[in-house]
Amino acid sequence: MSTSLRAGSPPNPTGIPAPTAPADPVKALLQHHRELCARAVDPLEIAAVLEARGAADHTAAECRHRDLFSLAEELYARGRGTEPVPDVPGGTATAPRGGGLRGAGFPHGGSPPGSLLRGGFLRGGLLLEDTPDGGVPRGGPPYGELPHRGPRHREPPRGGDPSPPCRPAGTYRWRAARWVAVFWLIGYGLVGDRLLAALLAGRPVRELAGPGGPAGVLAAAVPTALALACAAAPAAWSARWFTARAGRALLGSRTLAEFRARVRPVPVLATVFHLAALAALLAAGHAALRGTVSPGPLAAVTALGGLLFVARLAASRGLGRAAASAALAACAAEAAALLGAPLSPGGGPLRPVTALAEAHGPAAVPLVACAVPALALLTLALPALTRASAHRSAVAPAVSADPADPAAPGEPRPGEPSTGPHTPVRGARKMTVHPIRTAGPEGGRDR
Amino acid sequence: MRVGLLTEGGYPYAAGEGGEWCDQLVRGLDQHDFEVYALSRGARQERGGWYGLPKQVRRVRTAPLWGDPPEGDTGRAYGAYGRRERQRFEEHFGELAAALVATDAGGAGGAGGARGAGGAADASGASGTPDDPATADAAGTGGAEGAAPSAEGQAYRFAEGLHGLADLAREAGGLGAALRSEQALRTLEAACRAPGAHPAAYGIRVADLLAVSAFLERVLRPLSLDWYGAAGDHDRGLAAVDLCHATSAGPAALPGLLAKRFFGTPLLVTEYEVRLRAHYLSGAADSAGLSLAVRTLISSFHRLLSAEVYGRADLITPGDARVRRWQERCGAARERLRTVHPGVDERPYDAVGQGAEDPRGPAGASLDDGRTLLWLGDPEPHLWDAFAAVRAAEPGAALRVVGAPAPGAGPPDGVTYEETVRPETYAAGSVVLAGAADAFPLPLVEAMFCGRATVAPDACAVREAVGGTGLVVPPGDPAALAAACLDLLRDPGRRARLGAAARERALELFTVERHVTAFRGIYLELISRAPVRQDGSDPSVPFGRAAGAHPPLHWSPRAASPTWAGRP
Repeated sequence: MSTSLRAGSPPNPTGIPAPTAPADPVKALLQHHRELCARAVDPLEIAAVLEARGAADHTAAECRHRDLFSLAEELYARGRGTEPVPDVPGGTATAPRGGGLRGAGFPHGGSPPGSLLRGGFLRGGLLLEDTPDGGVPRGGPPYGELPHRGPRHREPPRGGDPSPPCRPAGTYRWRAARWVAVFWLIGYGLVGDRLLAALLAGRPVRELAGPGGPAGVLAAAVPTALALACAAAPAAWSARWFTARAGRALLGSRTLAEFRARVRPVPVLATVFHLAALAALLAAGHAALRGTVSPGPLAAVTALGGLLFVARLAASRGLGRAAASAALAACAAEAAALLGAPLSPGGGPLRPVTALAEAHGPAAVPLVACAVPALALLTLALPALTRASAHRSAVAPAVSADPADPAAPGEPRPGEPSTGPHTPVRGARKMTVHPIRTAGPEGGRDR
Repeated sequence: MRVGLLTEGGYPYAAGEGGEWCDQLVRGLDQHDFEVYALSRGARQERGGWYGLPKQVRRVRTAPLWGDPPEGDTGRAYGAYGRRERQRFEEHFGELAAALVATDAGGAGGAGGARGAGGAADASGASGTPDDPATADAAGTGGAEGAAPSAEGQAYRFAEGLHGLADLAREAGGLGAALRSEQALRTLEAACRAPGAHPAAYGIRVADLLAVSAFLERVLRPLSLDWYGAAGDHDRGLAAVDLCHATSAGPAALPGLLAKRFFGTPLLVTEYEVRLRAHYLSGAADSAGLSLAVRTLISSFHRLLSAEVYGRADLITPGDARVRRWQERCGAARERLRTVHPGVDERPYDAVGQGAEDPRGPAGASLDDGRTLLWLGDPEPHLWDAFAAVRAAEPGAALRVVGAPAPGAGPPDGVTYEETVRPETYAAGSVVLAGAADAFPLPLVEAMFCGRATVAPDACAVREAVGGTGLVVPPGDPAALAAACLDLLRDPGRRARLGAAARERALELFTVERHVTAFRGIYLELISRAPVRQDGSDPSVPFGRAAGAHPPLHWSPRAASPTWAGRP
């Protein structure tokens, strides 16, 4: 049995039995709540949890403290000393990288192969999709009926839908512009060269399709179309690789400068890989289906793929406007070539474009029209892509500001896109206002 | 009077806590106008519908504290700020970040006590200099490791940063984008790496920086709302409100703080659950995925925000003694605290309660069979031991438990389960036992309204609710619980006396009417102390200003006394 003798006090001379309480009651408490004391960031946290676990002032009194707060302070001070919190790279002891990078899209970690395939082929690779991971946009809000404590008088909200979905006006416009540009560019990449050659040769409109007719044109475009479709997979893979690398760098970097240094080569490498894969596919397709490989058209289609890929990377990191501008510039150049060929043969304001086509063949037009904006966009987007703030979606959805919102399994956590019918109003300046029986002019009623 | 009710995840939404009392309050004070300014906490809450709103709720404005901010282009989002705004943002956000990462000086007591000592000192006063030893001593917390002066400075810097950001958001807007920008990350990183920062904050990583800045953007969204119209605007929002009533000291009180700063509107804070404590409890439950640095900074933010709200509020009304203790601990000045107990609608229990006063009951049958125990709340392990002891002594005893039975095992002998609590359920129990609750024990109060003798564990606000009209036993002690039950079961006279006293006490203290009356008085008191605002009405509107508010007579004492009075 331990007696509570202070250092230096004489041994019990009076014969009074020593108190039976342990010498250090706080120690028992500390051992009982060891995990809490080790991970608490604040004495108040210990006080709150102790209180919730049933401790009260008499507990503090047993430990010779005035109240629970001062007891928690002692626990905090002592618990901090005994058990240092392990400093795990990535910041969390419990969240593995795959868990932390939710949706970050490791090629083989985050999503089943089926979704990779679906996302890659259908929307990931060549289309300008805004989801940063290049896959299917992550799950919409759940529609399970969730039981909750209903109050006594519950009514549906007045005034119909309380919060119609609303996004900043510009977003849709730029996204639509990107889609239009993408369709135009792909269409031109498939049939544009023949059309331009025919126009330059001065054929009449009826014979533009050439000797084989429209079917011949389409048949000639099959290898390119196949290669572009197959290139969606490496594009999706490259985008995911970029996201994954960025996410890993986010978790592993201690400073913003270190993060920038780690991420800087990654977009370029991803683009190069995608270009190489696309070129290989094109060469293989043309060699297999048509027996010949001509470097000019092949380079033009590769440049087109590069432009689409870079635009997609930029758009997914918030540079949607720049991406749309680059794609539209490429469209404009191609359209100028098509227009310039029949309108003013050999002259006029569009002469440089037609001259380019005449000098280097029709494939030179899309090559230049795609390669120049792609390079410009890549140069412009590189600093933005290496900013940590552009990769918010790569880390786990962050802390919710609310304490007591129970995270139901289907609940869209903050940070996830929610596309449901009740999407909250976005934008601080556009909050919903529900005037409820406002009588008279605003502010006129004063009771 | 026009009252702005500021809520967070509460009142107009049906799915949220704290809606009941707001509903009672709004319905009870039908002579005032209410405007509800609500911050929602999630999609589920928004889908859950609203309370039915009485006609005195003039309007409701909502804003989400969750989800993504508007998606701007990264390049443009921050370009909205010019060089001067960028400098201002850097300065104020730097203050805020420095306050967040500062070493915590012995818990919130340091910061809070200092604020409390300072009272309503305005932010521009010199009382907040970081090195003022006198005020630091006045805090009187004996903060650990001699860092008390930094606590004072921490609260001061936090307030400076917060109000600076609020001003910036009101004048230039774009705060959300700025908080998510790279510059905010850089500022935060610099603050974390500055000398004197919290050791946990020093180890922050880039992913943590992102998490913290996203959290700050979300929680500071009230700063950039368009709720603070100017006097000339058509929609004047909080400028037209006479009194702000915040339902917690967290983000819900931010609009109130700003209204007080911009328009001088008095701020009343009511808490039935301490927001800071709720943050800690929920954080313990689901913050396993967050790193130490993030948790440190977020806790720091909540603590400093609470201290700021408590320091600025004109009046704070805790719901019970425990909330009061927390508020005092976090910096609420004692003279501005006034406990207002929650109210329970007593009408459903009237019949049972009056029947209990008549020993034979309204139908002539005895309500009190003298052997039934009623347990409210989830069954706890020690309940079964206690009940076994009771049955050993009194074989006829029965136990009714409100709740669902545990799956698998059948209920023990003499135990039945009830689906829900109705007034008749209380009538059937001779003695009502309450489980440990983590809030004000409202079921216990309902049992008191029914005139039942109660046995409750000594936890939370039980002693405060029960007073001397029931038995209080140590929590988790089956022997004490069984002894108390047996005492009451064997002594019908005592049971009846305790029950009658409990009903009297509940009718005196815990009725809705009393709750509403308390707030009516508090509203009038606050508004009587607030200065008359001259800019409240549009001068171009005829009779737009009430004549009574501006009497032509000057009631102030005379400037000078007559010479013969001998006074200057």
